[in-house]
Amino acid sequence: MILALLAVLIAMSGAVLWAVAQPPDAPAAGIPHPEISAMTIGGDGRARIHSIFAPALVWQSCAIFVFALMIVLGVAPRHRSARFWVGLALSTLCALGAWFALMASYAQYLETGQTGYVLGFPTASSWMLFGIWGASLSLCALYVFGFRSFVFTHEDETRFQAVLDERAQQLSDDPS
Amino acid sequence: MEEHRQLIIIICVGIYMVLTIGIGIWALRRTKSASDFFVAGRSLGPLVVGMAVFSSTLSGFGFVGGPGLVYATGLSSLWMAVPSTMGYALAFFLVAKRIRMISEVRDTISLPDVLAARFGSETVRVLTGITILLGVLGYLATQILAMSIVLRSILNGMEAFADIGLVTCALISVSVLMFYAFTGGIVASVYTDLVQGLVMIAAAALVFVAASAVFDGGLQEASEVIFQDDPETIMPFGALGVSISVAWFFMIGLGFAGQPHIVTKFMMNRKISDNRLILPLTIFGYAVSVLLWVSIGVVMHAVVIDGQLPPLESADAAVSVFLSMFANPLLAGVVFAGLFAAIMSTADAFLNIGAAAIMHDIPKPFLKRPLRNELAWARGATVVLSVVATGIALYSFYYGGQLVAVLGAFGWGMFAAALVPLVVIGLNWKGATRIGAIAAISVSIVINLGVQLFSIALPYGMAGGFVALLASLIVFISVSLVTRADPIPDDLEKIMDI
Repeated sequence: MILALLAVLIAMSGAVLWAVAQPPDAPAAGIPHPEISAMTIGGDGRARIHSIFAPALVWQSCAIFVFALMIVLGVAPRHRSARFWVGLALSTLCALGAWFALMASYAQYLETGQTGYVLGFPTASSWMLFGIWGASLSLCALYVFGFRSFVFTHEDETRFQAVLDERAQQLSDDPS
Repeated sequence: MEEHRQLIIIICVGIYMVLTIGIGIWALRRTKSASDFFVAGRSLGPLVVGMAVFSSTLSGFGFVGGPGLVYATGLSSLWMAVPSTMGYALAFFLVAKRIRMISEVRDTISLPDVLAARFGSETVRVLTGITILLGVLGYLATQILAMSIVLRSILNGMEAFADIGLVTCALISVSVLMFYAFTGGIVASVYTDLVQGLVMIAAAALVFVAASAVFDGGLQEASEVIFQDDPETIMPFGALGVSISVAWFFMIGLGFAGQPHIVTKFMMNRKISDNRLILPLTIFGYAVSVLLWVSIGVVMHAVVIDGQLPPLESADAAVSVFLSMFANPLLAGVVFAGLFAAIMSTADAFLNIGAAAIMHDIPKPFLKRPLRNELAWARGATVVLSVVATGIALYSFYYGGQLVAVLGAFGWGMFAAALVPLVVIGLNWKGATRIGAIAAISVSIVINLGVQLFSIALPYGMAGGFVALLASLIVFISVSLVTRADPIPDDLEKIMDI
């Protein structure tokens, strides 16, 4: 698992370097608003993302995998049940799905110059605000509903109590 | 009511300050030892810990800086808020259980204590302690400055206090903060966090309703106004673009689990099984509070673009201008109290961990035996830290020095890069080594400090903390793989198996 994590981190670094190596066709981090100080505008969205659309897609996908692999690391191997794997896989797919949906709707806006609105924001932005955030709620659900199955079972509690008792015994035998 | 706006605001803030002082006095009676002072005797219930975790996370940034960034750059900064659920989930899956177990078995009172035990290294303890102290000084100085500036702006609105200066406001602010942190330590801190968290939730929810009503068409109309001016601002990556946005997602999201003022709260709950309740409470509190960040920023940007208001002199004025123009005085009073709550809930957490770093973590390897009367020393360190941080804050404000900015860079990104590998991976992977830990902390300090001190402009405006975090994770794992794993004490090995 640790090697998989390292591989994804290195892949992510590669995507970052790939992005950095592309010269932007427009100021990538925005330009000052022509009339209002203290405001920055994005300007030509198509020009500034054109060369880094693909690396950014890979970069964020790798980030999502990093989170997923780290969660596997946090669950003891004997508790990595089918239920855990299915739950984590679904959460990861939801997060990836929201990310790809965001990029797809953003690309569509760049192509057409038009956007719909969902819950008060442009569609692509709603995917960011509610899709990516919402997909992560499934991780919370995995934790809460899987708590006694793969986070801290009753057997784990007994094992921990045994560690506490052993430590107390050691301290009473040798207080130093 | 309008003619008494400032008085109402001052009364609301005053009530809140008195409440926090009262909690400090109550906590004084409950604080009998250093363990009580730093980890509340591991006796806190889920509601207290849940509110403490989220309110410590959201500092003045969430209530001032965040809305200001949305005003200035559109939706870019929300890539700091959106990974919160993922970040908290990660922290609970990987850190909450093990750190609580280690804390109880080894009677640890700080994060450096835990890491020293895990890696069997006093070098790791000292490096972690220094990292925390540097980060705390920067964060604390900016929080004290924010509190002072806001207090001055409130008081200057009344004729009786029109001439009150920043130094006086700083003294008032830090006195209240220091009082309850000094008297009650973490007990006062977390119980004020409970109150602060509830105030923040109430304030954010009410503001969201008020902000949504500024335009007849609600937030959609505000979005459409912004879209007409510059579509990129309201599209998902905002004015700052995709690279900065996704870099923030990674740095902030992963960084939750490495923030000492968050993870030390995990050592304080009564039962490990309470984590099952604490996670959703934390996520709920944070999510509601972020509504203020989004709504004020978007609405203020739109009303300025629309010509309803003149441009703001400073983006950080977005919240105070919104409250004075669009909120009734009572709501403004609650929100200002919420603002102080947000700032103080983070500042007191920093005071506590900073005090632990000064009198416990950094000196421990050099002392032959534990300090006598640790509680008194802890209180003394709280005072020293408060005074030093206030001095740094005022110096930076009056002399325009880069010191707070430099130390401020040792904020979230510094904690994330230095501590995430050790805490998140180190507590869950037996192959993590002491040399890997030292290498990771060193890399994170060099990159973070180097980028700030030499004003290195990273491509696409990426944050130095992001690069440092990515590098330190790779270094930590790689170096650990090629160096010999140190023997793990039997009790900790059993904990890592649970």
